Amino acid sequence: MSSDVDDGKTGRSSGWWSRRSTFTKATLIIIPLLIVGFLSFMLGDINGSSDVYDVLHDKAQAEVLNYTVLSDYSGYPVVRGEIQNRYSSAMQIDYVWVKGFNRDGDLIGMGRAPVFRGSSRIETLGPGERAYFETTYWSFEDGYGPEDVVFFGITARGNLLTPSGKFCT
Amino acid sequence: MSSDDDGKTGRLRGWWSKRSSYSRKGIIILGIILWAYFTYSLGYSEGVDSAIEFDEERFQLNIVNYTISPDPDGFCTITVEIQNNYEEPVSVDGISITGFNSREDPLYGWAFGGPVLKPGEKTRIKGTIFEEHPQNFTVGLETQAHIF
Repeated sequence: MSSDVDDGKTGRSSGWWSRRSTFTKATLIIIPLLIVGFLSFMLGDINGSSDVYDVLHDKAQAEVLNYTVLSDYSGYPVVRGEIQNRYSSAMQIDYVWVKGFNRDGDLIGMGRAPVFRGSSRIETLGPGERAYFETTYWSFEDGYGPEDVVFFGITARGNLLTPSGKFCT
Repeated sequence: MSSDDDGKTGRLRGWWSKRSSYSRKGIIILGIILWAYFTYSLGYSEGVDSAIEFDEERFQLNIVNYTISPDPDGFCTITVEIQNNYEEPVSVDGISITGFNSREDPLYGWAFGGPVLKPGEKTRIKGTIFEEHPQNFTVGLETQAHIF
């Protein structure tokens, strides 16, 4: 025997492995793989949700001063209202989101509302400035329509701008 | 050989036994890394989807006013008065706080929710801004609530 120590170990391990039944071998391979898979999945799940919350956490809300709900010619809701930036910094805001919920409290539709001053679309609100929003596009869950909406919730949020004009992130 | 399956297994064993110890370890480690990467990606995608879904079901409440004062730990306490201006009762999830100080460094904070507000009802929620007081800073708030 030229390398007793190493060969001995490998031999013992190999011998032990070869004495296991096929079922035991399969179990010994599958269980660690399931544990590794589960832990990786959980780590991914935590990191994925954390990355989304990091982006959302950087946002600040504009105040919704008032809003009214009308219907257009095809029966789709038109939600029109006014928002105000009540901070001492400018704020960038791309859309106001109007969320439609049904009687069971499920989100069934999302309305996208650009922000206007007069007839011009704007994306920046100075400190204290007001602007109008109006939904121009709706998407509904399959099987639901505007007639199923009993409650509208509004999210008007954007990014505060620092004095040098950078996003506050 | 009694069947095709035995033949395949036999060929696989034969192929495996012809690999060196180094190659076998490499194949096993690579397989585990690929498996972990695959499951991590699935989990990441699931996490992104669930966070977006959670956020989509939330909407904001009106902020009536807020005050900031020093707390005993050297940070700031923020007290925010919010109001439910909807026509249905809502459950308050919390208020996230963002902002920046005079050096334009970001600052963060959070106020925990919990109360259910009836239409028109107001409440005060206390939170913490993780910034030393006194400092010249700007904060932005975002309330989050869902239908009760």
